[in-house]
Amino acid sequence: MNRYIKLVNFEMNRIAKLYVVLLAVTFVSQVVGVIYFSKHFLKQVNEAMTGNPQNRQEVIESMSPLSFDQVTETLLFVGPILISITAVAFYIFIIWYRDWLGKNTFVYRLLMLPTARINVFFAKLTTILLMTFGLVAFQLMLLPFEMKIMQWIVPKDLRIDASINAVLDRFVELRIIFPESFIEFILHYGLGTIIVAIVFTFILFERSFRWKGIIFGFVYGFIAFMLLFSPVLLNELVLNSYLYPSEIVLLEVVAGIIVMACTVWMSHYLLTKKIRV
Amino acid sequence: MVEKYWKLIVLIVMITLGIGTFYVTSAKTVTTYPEFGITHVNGDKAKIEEVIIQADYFRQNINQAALITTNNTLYRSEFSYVERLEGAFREPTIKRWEKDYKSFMRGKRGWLDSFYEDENYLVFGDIKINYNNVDASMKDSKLYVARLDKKTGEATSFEVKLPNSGEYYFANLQDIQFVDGKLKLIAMNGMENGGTAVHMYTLDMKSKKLIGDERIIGPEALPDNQNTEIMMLGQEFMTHKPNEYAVFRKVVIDETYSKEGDYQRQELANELIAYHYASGKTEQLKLPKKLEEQGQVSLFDGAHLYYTTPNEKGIDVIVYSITNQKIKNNYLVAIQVGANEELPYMTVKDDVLYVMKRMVDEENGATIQAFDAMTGTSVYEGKIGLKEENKAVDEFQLYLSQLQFDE
Repeated sequence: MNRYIKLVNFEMNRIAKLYVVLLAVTFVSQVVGVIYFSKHFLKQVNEAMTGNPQNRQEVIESMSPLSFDQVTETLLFVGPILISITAVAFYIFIIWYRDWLGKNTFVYRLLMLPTARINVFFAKLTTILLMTFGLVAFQLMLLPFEMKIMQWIVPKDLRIDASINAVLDRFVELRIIFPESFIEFILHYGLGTIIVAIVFTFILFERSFRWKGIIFGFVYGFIAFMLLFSPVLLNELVLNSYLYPSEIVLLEVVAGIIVMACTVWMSHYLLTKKIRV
Repeated sequence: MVEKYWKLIVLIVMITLGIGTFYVTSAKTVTTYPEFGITHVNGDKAKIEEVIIQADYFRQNINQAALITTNNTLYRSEFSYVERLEGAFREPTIKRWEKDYKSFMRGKRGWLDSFYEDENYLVFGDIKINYNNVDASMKDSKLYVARLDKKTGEATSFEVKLPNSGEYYFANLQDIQFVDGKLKLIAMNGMENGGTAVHMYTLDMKSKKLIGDERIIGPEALPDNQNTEIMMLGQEFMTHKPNEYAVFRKVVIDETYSKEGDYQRQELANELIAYHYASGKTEQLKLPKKLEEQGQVSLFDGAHLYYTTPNEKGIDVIVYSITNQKIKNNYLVAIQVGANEELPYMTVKDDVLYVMKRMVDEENGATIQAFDAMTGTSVYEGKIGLKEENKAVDEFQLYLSQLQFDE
């Protein structure tokens, strides 16, 4: 356990600088976006009022008031989210390959640590999860702050104050990252974790058998995905929707646990018996 | 120790706070939607007990679907994840069957059209469309039926080949009825060589065989610029009940483009065709002149047609009996409809005519009224509006779209 925490800490420290940059880019881009968009909106209102300032009421009625969901549709807001997703997706691979490709094959020392080698796997998986959850949490804390900024700039009669959930409801894709209920949060990110673990195993196949390993990895990945989605596939293709949706969710959870266990076991086997340095 | 791990600790604290706060507060914001209710004005409260109003709530840029009953308001986000997954807004009758006959209902998701229920049986029918691997035709399609004996819990099912299925390019099940031990399935079939035909398939539960394939309405040979549109009358929540008649509206439409390229659409014929389930007779209804002029029929309850027209005094209702082929009654429902106001929602169920105004806002409530469908006597009146404790809510709109019945 202690070794595992040390490894996680070690992995986190290795990415910390880049990670802080990612958070900073998100912060700056989105805050600038909110300020720019709010000011731009006010400018439009002012232009509409030019000449007859008495017309404020009419202008307000003719223009639809600004609400935060309009801000979320701008590139300055969505951009950093897309960059973060891409960065984490890349790092799922880099977190392994940097140990091989770096100077003095660092992986040699890593695998020689007096601890079960699967801890290296768990530490890397945990790191990816912590990075992801950190970004999600950061965005969730940033949202109310950004809404406040919009409220400071745009007067009350020109804006709509909505809750975070109302904003997210209007931007369906964001609901994948920030699901409506905590159960869905666990299901979404549970699935994500399993997929990352399968990709890790794929990487370990490649690191164990190189070119041939890529083929093994794809075969393993295919089987794992088939097993993972077998409840849905069977219900649709063979059972004629025999199962109720809630039963499928339950079976999916079971399938997920089984696939996760197999993946961990396979990774353990590859790391202890087959890995090449 | 802490010094060495501070980055990790900061990150974990951030995760717990950020995600934790979001899900704790979002659980609270759900309760900020106002509660609506139906307040009794006069009449028999029992008439409204089964009613569920499907509504959409709008406030600023919030839009939430909701179900309103006499006791409470349930917004979409108040349903649990599992309820949303199963379909929180699906027909209450299907919800009830899934609860009471869980095993029979497996694999029978769908609309009420596919079901029939009386005291003894729950019946399900389906047209299983299978496309042939070689010529991509529908010739391998099947009719499937299943029947549950509600008392013994015994279920029987079988399937037969859909006759002449190679001639169709689509086949839609419209309704299923159970008459004298025989299942009657109505299907609307699109013919490969043009036109639409309505078929009545009769299946015998004992021998598990198809014993009849009758064409109620045939495809017609029409000029190129004409086509027929056939529609079955009825309302979603009554198709699963024993009905006396099935009624179809058949419209022949002439579509032409003038030399200037203007599109013209003309109705050449508009007729109502009734099929009597018990006798198996089909006939075209000869409507009195008064009704011919009325235009489209508004409602159908299985045995009567209702023609409704709003006027300055209220809504004029003409009830036409299919059995007697006569106008049975003509009455006025006293409900004020403003010139710019959308027509109220109307429906008939179990000889009760429901009339519901559609808009509720911060100033005005809506009314829901029930009348004896045959005579027009008022049997219930209620007001739909904010509950007392929510009177402070500013600007909003509640749009009442339709009624469901939780029997």
